[in-house]
Amino acid sequence: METDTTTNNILLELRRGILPLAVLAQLYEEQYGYSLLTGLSEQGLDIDQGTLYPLLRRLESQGLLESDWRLEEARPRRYYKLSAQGKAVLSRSKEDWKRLSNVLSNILKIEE
Amino acid sequence: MELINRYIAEVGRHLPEKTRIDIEQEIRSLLEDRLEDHSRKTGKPVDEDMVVEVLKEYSPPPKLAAAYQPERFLIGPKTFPAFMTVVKIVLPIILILAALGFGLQLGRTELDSQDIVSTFTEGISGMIDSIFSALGIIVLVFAILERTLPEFKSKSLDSVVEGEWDPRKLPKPAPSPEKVKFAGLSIEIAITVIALTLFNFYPEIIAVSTRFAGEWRSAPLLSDIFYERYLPWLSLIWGVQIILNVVLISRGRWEPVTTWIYLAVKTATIMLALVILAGPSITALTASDLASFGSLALEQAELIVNIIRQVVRWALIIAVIASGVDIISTAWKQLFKKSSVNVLTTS
Repeated sequence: METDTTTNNILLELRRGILPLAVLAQLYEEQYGYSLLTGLSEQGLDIDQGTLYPLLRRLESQGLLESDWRLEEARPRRYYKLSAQGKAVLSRSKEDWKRLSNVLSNILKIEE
Repeated sequence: MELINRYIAEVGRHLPEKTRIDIEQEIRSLLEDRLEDHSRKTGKPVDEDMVVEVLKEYSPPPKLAAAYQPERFLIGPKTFPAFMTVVKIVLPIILILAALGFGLQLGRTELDSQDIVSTFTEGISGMIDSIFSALGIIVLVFAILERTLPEFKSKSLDSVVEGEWDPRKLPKPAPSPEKVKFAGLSIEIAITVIALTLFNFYPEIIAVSTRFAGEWRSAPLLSDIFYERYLPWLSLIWGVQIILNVVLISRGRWEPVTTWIYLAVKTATIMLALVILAGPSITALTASDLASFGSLALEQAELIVNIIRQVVRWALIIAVIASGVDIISTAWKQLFKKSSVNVLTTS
């Protein structure tokens, strides 16, 4: 039981670490919150609503995203997209992610 | 939709006013999207049961609201080490000052035995008040700095963590406080044995003596009350102290049992000193005794006797303060110390 909890905590931290990158990558094209959530879910990355939306606001406050409200189907929706700074950060992060991914794959092979 | 309004209102109640409307609007939009999607997938119209089902997928209102806000703390993790350093410097100083104030109060007032307990209680209460006041002020200052001076954080820790550092400047490890000091304990045993022997078997030596007109004249320094009322208790304390020191030398280190016995001995010393302070004077020497020696006028003799009485009184007050500080410091270390073994195994 204790091992399960520890494993869950490690996986939770791992997911928390990769979420900003996944969200930034999805927002090359603008999307509203719920479509982003379902889009990520369809690709195998389920995110809790309580995690995604605060993350979007944080990324926006860091200048990586831009957002605006639009009236669609008689109700307002907030659309998010990458800012110029967000695109630059995403580009650098992708390179770093590839390097890290290779490093970790090698490490995990050694462990096996 | 009534439930959605209630849910959003409850989330909003936990949000800061500045961002409340915007976040509430966003949550409403998300919930409506989710309901629409759910209705389409199930082929059913949106009803209260469906709203309940969707709301259950979301976090309870306080948890969702908390996710929208940064982690809140009074003193942040970056400034905490600096805060602890200041606390460790300031609190002992406050404690010593409070103990000195307590000592001065004792010295200025004539206490009878009934006043001892109340004065002692007031003194301890004053010390505790001082510590909490000082701690409160330090917390307040750090909390204000944390919120008003962003550069304060960088100066406190970032410069240490991120700046260049010289491994050669690392402090040398402190000697283990648990190891006993053999030389100090040996000297203490010798002095205590001498005092015990002198006071109990040769009290006549503890006197003021002078040679006048070819013959020795002597007057006892301490009163009969001291020898009859206080010396048995003092001898008991000294006896326990000697046994404790012998045990410490044989064991080579402080252990919880020896530490607590040491604290008990110190407490008994304080209590005895307070009783002596509150009781009649323990000095037997009078001005007429001194004047009878022939070399001093009565006025000069009175002055010297007064000085001796004050010296004895102040020696007792200083003993009370020193023992008090020692007790607090030792008890603190005993209660809150971290074993070096634990540190090594947990790091």
